[in-house]
Amino acid sequence: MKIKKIEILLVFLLIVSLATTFVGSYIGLISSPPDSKQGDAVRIMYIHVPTAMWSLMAYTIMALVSFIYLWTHKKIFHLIANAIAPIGMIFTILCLITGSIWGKPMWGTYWTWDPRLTSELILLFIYIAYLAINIGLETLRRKATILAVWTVIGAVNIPIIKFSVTWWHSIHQGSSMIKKGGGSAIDPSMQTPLYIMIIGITLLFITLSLINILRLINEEKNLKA
Amino acid sequence: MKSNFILSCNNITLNYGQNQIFSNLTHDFKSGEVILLCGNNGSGKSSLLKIISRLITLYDDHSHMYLKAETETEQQAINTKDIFYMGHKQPLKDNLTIFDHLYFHTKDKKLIDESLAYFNLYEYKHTQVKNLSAGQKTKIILSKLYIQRTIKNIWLLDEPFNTIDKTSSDLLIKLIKQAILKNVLVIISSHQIPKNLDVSTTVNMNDYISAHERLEEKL
Amino acid sequence: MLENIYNLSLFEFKNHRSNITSSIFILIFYALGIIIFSFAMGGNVYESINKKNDILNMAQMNAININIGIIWGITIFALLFYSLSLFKEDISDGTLEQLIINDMGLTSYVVIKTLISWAFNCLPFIILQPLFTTILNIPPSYWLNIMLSLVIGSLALSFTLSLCVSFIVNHSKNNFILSILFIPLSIPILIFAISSSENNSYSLLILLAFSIISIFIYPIITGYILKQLTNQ
Repeated sequence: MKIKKIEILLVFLLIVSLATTFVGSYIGLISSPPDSKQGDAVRIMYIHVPTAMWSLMAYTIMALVSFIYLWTHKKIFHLIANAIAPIGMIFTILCLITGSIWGKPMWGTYWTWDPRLTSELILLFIYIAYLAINIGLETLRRKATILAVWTVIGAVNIPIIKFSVTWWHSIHQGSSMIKKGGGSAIDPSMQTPLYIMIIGITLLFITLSLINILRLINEEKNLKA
Repeated sequence: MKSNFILSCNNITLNYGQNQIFSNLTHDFKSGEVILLCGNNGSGKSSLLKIISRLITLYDDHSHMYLKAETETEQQAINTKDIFYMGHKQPLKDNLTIFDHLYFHTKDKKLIDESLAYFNLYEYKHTQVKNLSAGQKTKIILSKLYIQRTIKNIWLLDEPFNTIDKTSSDLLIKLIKQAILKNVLVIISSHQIPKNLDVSTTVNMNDYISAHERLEEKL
Repeated sequence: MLENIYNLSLFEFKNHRSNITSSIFILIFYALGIIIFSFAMGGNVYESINKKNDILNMAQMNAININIGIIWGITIFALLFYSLSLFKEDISDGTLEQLIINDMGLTSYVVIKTLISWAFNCLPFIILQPLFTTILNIPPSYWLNIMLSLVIGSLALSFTLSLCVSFIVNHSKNNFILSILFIPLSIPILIFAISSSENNSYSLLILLAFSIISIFIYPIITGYILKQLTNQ
């Protein structure tokens, strides 16, 4: 069997992203110092922040692509959204789980109905509903339209998650990465692993999405042939 | 559009999921004609009517369907408000009376009485639909056609003669004959057609079954 | 256009009036739910609330909040009950096809359909709310807010449900998907609905905003989805 160029690229990307993630985790979990207030619990941040970021970014991409699908009715946009959805859902679950593990020692509870947490949970339900429609409905064109409409409706939730910390009195802390008037509120020794992890998870997300998109396109071709 | 017109179908192809139902159907339907669609089950007779009434939207770029006046070449999109469509499904609510259904379409009570009298339904005016027979239910739809006969100029009738008796089908044929004098385009899809109906053109849907399927048939 | 809307409303009204038994069924279901919960709560709540001093203590407040939660829970079930078959009949008997062909505007159809079925199925138990709140021992000072938030909230939820139902109509396994679709869209409404029932006028305003948004936006989307329905 002939190996295509794109497959070599994907394997390379996968290796790079996994390596970056491992390096980032090693520095974050072992060689970086504990926080002055939060102690060792702060290390969860290195997974929590990038996954939270990409749970939102994945949905934003899905919403944009779905919007274009409603505009043009080109099947490729449906496939892209379809491919990203499960990955976004996994990142949302990871974000929620790491968040609750962190919440137990810090807030004294795994879960509370705080605006940020509630809206993130709603995001998870939106992902689940997307996949449920995808599995449950049969006819293709109508399904693609429904999925696109659903994604666009759900996009209202994204700014709510993003700004819930500033709009309401949330128990969840705001972003420490960018401080008012430039600079960062995080010590450089914690900043480095965080940035490495963000890069690693970003690469991982891109690789997984590409693999999934290619798989769906191939399935589509096989159906037609 | 009260004057003469032509409903023109160009290269209409219908795919149902992965299956192609018919392909490259090209035909001009002139107003004032009675057109009969015939063909095997599943050859796309009903689907063609649905495409004309735009219940099915075609997304591929080759298919075109438009109206044009007989003398001019200017193309117009079909206004579905001009279409009377009678499908397999009967839009009737079990617990409502015949009068309730027709009152939805016109406020003219005399016209309702007239239409009911035309199809011999007058005595059932205040009977609930669930107490009527299948043929009487079809006749309610035909009474609706009688009410709207002046405002609709494309009639799409899907199997109208199936359940109704001889007298009623004669009445329907009379209605159609009056209509074609007023430049109405009547398209009927049917298996059995009464002998006293003058069909202007017959379109055999079997001719448009895609080549691939015809090959399968031979095998 | 206006005449079409009038005709459609009249037709829908007659249709619902002829099926009045199903509305009565919803009302009985609702009353039964309330009664069962008031049995389960027992009489001790009753005693603790109806003492002479007007100031409610913490336990009484909790009991009231639980009872408000019960009212909303049963309301959700009642809403789901009648919404499941909202468009089913019109689709299977071809009424929807005729509406599309006659260019009636499916948005107005969805608004009319949802409003009338809401009026027939929800309004009765909202009007009878003083009775139910008495059974659940909620003091009269809460009645107005509960009824207001029920009117506004159930309207918003009805339009949300009609959107969800339009997604899954004509499909097997549809009840399962409906419940999953309904969760993310209803949680924000429910949060503010319940807190506005607890005499919180700030949440009532937010709930009103939700309701207005859902009345104006959801029917447009629902109509768009329903229009695709004939389209395989």
